[in-house]
Amino acid sequence: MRTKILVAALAAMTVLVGPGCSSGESDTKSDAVTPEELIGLFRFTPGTVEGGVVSGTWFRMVQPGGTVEAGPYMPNGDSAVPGGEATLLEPGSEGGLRSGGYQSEPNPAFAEGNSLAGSITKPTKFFAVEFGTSTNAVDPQTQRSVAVPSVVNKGGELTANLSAWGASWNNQEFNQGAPKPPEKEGAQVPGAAQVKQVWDWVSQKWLNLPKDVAGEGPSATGTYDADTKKFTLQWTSLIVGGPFNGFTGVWHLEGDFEPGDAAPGAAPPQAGAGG
Amino acid sequence: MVASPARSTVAVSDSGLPAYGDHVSSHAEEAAAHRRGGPRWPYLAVIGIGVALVVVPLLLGMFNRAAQGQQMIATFAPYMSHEQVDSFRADLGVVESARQNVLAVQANGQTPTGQYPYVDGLVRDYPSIDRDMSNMLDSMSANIDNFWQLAALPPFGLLPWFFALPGLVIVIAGVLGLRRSGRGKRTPVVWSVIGLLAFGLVAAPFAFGIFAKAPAGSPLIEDFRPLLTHEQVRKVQGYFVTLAGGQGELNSRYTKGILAEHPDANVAEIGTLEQRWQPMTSEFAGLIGVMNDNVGNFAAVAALNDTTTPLGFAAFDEFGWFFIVPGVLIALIVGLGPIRASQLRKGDT
Repeated sequence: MRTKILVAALAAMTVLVGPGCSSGESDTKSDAVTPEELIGLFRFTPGTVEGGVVSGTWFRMVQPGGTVEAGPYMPNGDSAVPGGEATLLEPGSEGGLRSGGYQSEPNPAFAEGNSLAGSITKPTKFFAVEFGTSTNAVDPQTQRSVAVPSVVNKGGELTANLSAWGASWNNQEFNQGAPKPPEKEGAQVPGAAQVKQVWDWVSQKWLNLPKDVAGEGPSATGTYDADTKKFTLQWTSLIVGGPFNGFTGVWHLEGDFEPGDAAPGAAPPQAGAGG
Repeated sequence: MVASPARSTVAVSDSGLPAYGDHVSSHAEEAAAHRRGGPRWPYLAVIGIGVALVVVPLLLGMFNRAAQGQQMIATFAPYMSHEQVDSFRADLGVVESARQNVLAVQANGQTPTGQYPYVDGLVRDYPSIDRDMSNMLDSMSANIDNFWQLAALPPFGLLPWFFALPGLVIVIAGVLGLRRSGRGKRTPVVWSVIGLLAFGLVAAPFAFGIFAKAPAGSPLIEDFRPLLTHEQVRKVQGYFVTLAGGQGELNSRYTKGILAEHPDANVAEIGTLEQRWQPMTSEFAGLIGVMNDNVGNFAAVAALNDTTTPLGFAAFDEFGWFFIVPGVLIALIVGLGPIRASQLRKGDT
């Protein structure tokens, strides 16, 4: 009887104390959850639809008052998806999204309303007019300076700052970032900006520093398999201002990550980002 | 505080302080100095008006609201022409023609096989969309002249400064004048500056045509009041969903279905809609965007116009008087105060 009790106590101790004592395994887990910035190309898998199931890279737009899960969605008559409830995307000329650098829209940005921004995704028809995507240091809609796209992997879970993500369609610009940059600055009292500059000078602040880089709201999130380098990224972004004010873009990217160097001229990382 | 004559007399004899006679003579000199410098009330009165010219625009939030008005005028300008409104009307006509084309196809028994919910929605809902959009264009068209009258005024954002800056200078001049007058000095320069500003205030509404142009704001505000709301913008966005869904289905499936089953069917007007679709949606999207982005700006301008409603008039209708009244008051003070005093002095001599 005494032997049985001793064995049971040892077994219980092993269960309770065991995990804490296996320092090697603990270290491995700790390493696995250390945040790691992924810099390079997120090469997209083209969007497809089979049997009504959408996979790969795609986009959809939720109408005001709708929900991401149930819609109603804008029905894109040009989409291969039944009902046009999602728009399938193909990789652009660079193959996908580059982190650590911007993929700015060209100038001019449009030809007869069709977007010429084709670096990230191939311009795709949306209501008979092609829309494109780009990431810009100064967001074309809000005119705010926004952070360079960045993706951080923490134990297979991705968190991405895609504030700079924008869509362009029919001579219109829409910030579709996550976190969301502040909306475009409203009307300014004449002379107020100059007075502020004088005040900044008097108070010895640097003039014309980039402002409002930090976005608001949730970041893009996703998954990453370090072995296969397969990734997914998804986010929602409310359109603020312009003709589609109140609509919500839903983005889903997936494909393969290709590590690489940060693009030359990329903005320095924000304070605190590097740890 | 002036000491009593009895105490002064005692104090002089014992302590060597100024004698009563000196004290009286000092008061007499002070009074004489005031006579030379003129009365104090005109300075105080112009300072009061100057303060009002600075403070009232601040209290009414005129600086921000006027800046918002300027932004609204700048962003609406591309859409406020008869050519642009006619172009919008023509596009609405193109959609109606395509709708009639669909109805004709259906009447001819050439409806393609299958379900076309968005085409059905377009056919069903477009008459009311057309009516509402046409009303909106009517309001725009009726106010094009009003709009450009307002746009011809000095930039809205600067208008509050037309009160505040003269007001500030008048306050500074009044305070300087008051101090110099207190020291017995005459203040012809001060009064010249104040007089010039009074003239400027009276002349400004005539120079800028404010009496002729500003009243155009009231009818424009009243006609745009039901249009520039979030509810109206949301409604027009809904129209866009109906149109885009219908056109998309016509373009991608419906027309192909018709022609597959009836190669000789007439789909010319549906084709015209397809051709016109991109520029049409670009222009309408631009207009909806400008409407949406100016809901707040419009509310600010309307609020500015409504600030005088308790007085029984709209601010834009009588805007010129906001310059004339203080200008004339200051001119009267200049006339009654320093000029009158100068005439009296001349009479004394």
